[in-house]
Amino acid sequence: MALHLICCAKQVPDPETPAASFRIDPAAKKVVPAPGVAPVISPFDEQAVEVALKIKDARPDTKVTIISMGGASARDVVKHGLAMGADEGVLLDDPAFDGADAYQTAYALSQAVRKVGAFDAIFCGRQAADFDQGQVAIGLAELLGIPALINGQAAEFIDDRRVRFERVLPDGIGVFEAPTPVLTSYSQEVGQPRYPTLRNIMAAARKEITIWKSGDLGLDPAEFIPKTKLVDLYVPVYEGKCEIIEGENAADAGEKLALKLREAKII
Amino acid sequence: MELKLSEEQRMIIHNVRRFVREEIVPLERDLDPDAFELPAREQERLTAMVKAMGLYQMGIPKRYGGPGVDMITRTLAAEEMSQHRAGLYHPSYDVFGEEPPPPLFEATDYQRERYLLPLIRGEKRVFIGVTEPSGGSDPARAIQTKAVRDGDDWVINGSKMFNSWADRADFGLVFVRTNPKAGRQGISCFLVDTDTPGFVVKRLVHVLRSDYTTELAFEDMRVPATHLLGEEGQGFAIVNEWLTANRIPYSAVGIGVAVAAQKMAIEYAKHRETFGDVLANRQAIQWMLVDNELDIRTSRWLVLHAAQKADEGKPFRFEAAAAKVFATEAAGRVVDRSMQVHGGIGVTKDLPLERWYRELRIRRIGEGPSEVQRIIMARDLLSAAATSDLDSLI
Repeated sequence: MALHLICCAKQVPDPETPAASFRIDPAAKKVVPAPGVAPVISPFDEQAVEVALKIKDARPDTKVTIISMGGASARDVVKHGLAMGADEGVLLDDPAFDGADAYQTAYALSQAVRKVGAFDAIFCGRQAADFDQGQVAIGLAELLGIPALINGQAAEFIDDRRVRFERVLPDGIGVFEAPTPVLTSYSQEVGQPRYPTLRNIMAAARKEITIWKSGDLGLDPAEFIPKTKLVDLYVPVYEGKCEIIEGENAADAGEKLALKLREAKII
Repeated sequence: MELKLSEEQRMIIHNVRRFVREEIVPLERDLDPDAFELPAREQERLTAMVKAMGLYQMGIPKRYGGPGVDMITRTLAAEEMSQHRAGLYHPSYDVFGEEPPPPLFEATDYQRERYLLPLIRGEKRVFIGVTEPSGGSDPARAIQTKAVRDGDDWVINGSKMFNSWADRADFGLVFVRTNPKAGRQGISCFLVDTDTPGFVVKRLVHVLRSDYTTELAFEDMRVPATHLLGEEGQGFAIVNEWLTANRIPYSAVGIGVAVAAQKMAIEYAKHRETFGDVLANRQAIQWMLVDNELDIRTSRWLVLHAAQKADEGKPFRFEAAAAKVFATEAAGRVVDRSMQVHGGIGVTKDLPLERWYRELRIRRIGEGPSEVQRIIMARDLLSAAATSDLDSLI
């Protein structure tokens, strides 16, 4: 049986953008893209694509579909996934999606997944590299009514109907199994995603990607409403203060320092 | 006016950018500031990665099994490959492969089999022998090394200067005089194996840059007549073709270094405080950064113009010379200003600026000094061979 895997990928400002170039627009509550720095696929999402492609490496008849939601520039994310080795690409591009919160994104994606058709597993990053909310993946699983296995480093199909998943835990790796269809999300422990090959780049450049507007997804207007509100967006100000602990000698100063640290509940 | 790149071109360039950022730059943290080679294991690993990506020797034509990537893309990729400490002379430590000298594609079947194909496979390395102790900018007169026909062989005597990699290469394109009376028509090009008896690496010549170059001597060196590249007397045309084509990537890697220096200068200016304010708020610094950007953008357009003409199969000698003069001189200015923005830390070996500063000085001389490029351009201007930019557009 040929598997069908779906990867959800988001476009984010390049996390390697120099810190000094980071700007926000407090009025619009938006991050201002750094001039001259192209946005990229969110790194965790790219790692999720890598896991899906590893499964395809082992089972070449597997079909991998990339879905991204964003403006026209998010087309680059879909093309990047295709250049890595995915088979089909879908872009959800509509002004109605601008500023969508995590719930709206998960809802639109769930409708897109339904429209794509039958699938065996969904692959997401554990969280996006811009707002780090980590909501969309589990929200998508909930809306689709399928199990979710999150924060993984690897996955494989035991047979056509079961997935074995390695979850990253604070003190080790948890190994889980789940029936398909299943949603999985991945973290940096996946390791370095593959570089697109020139052959795949050329094929990806030629490949048409499917673009769906809001109307194509059959979104229920009563449902496509934000569940969260961004109240404020600001860059915190870090302040450094220095207090010199005096003592009669080094041992005395050390003791006073230890007491001070204990009072501050640091030690 | 905007350069519209295709999706394919953009993805290739992004791929190279990511590779340099993730694979090359981190390795340099553990290397000597003057290192010009990677540890052998890393060199092999990264070369294998680039080959798997299909980006090894991007310029090799498709008829030779290469990717046949166009010159515009290769120019922009070269700009990415050089954005690291050793990048000016060893872009990405050459893991993207060195492109064979174009004249080799017109070689005989025997020569292609023996030299070109192993070069394409990365099994052999090549050097170029043009310059002699008597000079290099005017090869028609400076080449004194003589080749005399003796049966099926040519016997070569003479010497060459500034032959990078000649001590580590497997063969070279060596330009010699086969007819002392025929001026520029008396020069021929031979493919010379470096293990030929009489081929002597006389000394390693240490220069401003970290890597050294060589002085060679040829002592009754016998080279089979089958190793003559092209026709007898065609050497000058061959060297001109190679030099002209090479000016485009030579200029592009300089832009890459300038871009890297400018990024550093902007970052530093935003953070470094003096007299109660950051450098970025000082007009003296702002103007340096703006002048850097003017130099970088002007260089890029000149180089891309030459690359575009090359892609279109049009003559590009004037454009390549213009790019070479401006981009190499501009890159020197950009690194100089960036060093000034950094102050004391800019001249330490903690940062790559001092290495780029030294090495860029050579670029105004190497591959034909600025003055010779201007001679080339003046000849074309005065003979009306160069069409004005506007005339080519309207």
